[in-house]
Amino acid sequence: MRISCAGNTDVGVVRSGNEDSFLLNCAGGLFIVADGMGGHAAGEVASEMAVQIVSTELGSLRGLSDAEAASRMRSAIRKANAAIFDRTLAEHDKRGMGTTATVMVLFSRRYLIGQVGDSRAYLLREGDLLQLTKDHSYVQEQVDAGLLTPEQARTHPYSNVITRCVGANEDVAPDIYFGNLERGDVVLLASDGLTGMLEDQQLATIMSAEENPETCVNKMIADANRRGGLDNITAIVIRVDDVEAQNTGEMPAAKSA
Amino acid sequence: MELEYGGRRYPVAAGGLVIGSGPDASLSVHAPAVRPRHALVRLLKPGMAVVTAEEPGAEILVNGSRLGPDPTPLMHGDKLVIGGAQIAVSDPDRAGATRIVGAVPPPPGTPKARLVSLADGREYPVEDVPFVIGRDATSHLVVESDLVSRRHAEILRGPGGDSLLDLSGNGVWVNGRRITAPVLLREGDLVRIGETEFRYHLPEAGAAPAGAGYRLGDTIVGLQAVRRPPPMPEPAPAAAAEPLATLLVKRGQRKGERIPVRSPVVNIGRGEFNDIALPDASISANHVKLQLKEGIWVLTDLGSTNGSRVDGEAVQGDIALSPGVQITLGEVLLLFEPRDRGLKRVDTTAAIVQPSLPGAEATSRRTILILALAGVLLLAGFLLLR
Repeated sequence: MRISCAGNTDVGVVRSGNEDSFLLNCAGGLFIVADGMGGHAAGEVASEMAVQIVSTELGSLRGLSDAEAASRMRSAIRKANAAIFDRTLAEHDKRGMGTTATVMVLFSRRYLIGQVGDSRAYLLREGDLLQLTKDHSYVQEQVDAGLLTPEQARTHPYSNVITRCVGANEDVAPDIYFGNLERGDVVLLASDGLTGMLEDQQLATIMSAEENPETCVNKMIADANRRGGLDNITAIVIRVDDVEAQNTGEMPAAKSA
Repeated sequence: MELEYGGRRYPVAAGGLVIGSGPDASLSVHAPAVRPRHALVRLLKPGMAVVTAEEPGAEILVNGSRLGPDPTPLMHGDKLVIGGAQIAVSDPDRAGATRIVGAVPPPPGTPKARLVSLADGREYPVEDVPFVIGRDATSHLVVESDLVSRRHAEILRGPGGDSLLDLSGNGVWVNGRRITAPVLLREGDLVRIGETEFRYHLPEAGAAPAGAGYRLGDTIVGLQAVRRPPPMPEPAPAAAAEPLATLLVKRGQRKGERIPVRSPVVNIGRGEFNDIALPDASISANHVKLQLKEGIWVLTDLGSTNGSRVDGEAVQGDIALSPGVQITLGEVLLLFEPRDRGLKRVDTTAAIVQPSLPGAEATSRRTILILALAGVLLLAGFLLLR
């Protein structure tokens, strides 16, 4: 697979620190967005720990079956969870810290996503934007249960409550998603500082209009800031240029990337 | 408040304004069915007037509905019909007449929407809602064509944005498709009224979307407790499920009806887009929000014109509702009846916002211990009494 990719993070307009962390390993086909939480800079620590531990633990997925790759993804996120949770017990000022994690690995012509929390992965294919991941949030559960409409969910006072988090409990169960990629696909990974400020349709418009992943990322972040920039904003954009070529994206991050 | 009739304006004075065919009517309407003193319009407070029939049987229509004997509030944009004559109600404060006001920044979160005519490029800001589109001269946007109804369509504003409602006989098209239900308008949508097309625009870099402030507040982890509704008896649709609460209409158009509240957040208002729509002229398009918050039902007035009261007390900000209270929205009276099952669900709802910190479990164990102790003491006391 031949891809071009870009990623960036921005503190936003309102917050004083950036608790988001991300990993962009274009050659290895590994991408992570983590949105940390917890005061006194603990959020930054949690999101950075998640990114480092997950990328190290994943290693190469080359030659693995889907089931094996999924199991590797689960165990990498659970290891990060355990390490962060241990720190919340040991260090008083880290109590309550945790992070979301949206981890995407590209291999062969496929993608694998490990998901905890409310950062999101989207796929733009032939002009249609599809949300690949489902938020682990109170409002999403209420929508699934038929108690809220998606419109009500967006404006609900509990829309900041997430129900799964890396590092908040002893263990965590990530959701796993698989899918095929096609030439021309554009993938977006983003923290809620982006998806909370821009509606899906606005994301789709920018992703369709901007060929270059870097200008696309910068435009999204600028737009989110222009609308108020209420939270840290992180975006990674990956464009699939060719699925047959064999130069990049074949091999996920080597250990200790 | 003013009434507009036959190109003239009639201010509603403090003493009231009589409409009729007689000599002491300030607004004269000469038609066969019009009584000498037909109707009286009184000013209750600035921006709010009520109309009453002065004689039994004097027919008055407000926005097409025939009035009963009770005084009926009139609001800006309402249309009175008396003996076939149409009288428009206008509030100069809301009608865009020039006035001098202090510099007040526009409220945040309300992007300025507009319709642009593709025929002549004229722009129509969608400010007052409901924003009326029609042939009638008092519409916000007048479209002159035989294909267009007097009141052809309305734009209503809800939390998710503006929605377009077809009130016409000949139909309304959005992006080439005839609408059969209210449609949420999006930037760039093409709206066709009669033969004229309009482009709906929201400014490109507007405010944050509704709710962004909540969503992007500090993220909190809740306990992972999936609150699926209890298994429903087979393919029983939502209608069969037990509601969380009911509102019994004691006064108003839907009088006698028991309206179910099926979700922990419902918006109530005159607009069709509300979870509970109350088609009463005294109710604002967005009137109140009723919400189950951490186990307590809370009512919030959404800046309604005629206000809301709970057991007679005016609602300012949030007000908690006890079972059986009477809620007055404009002129509509509702009896609030929460259901036990709803309250049980509340407990689980409340649980999600407790941080799942290591100490929490210990605390709840202690609570159970105290409860058990209290139970034993009660039982002992009971036995002693016997």
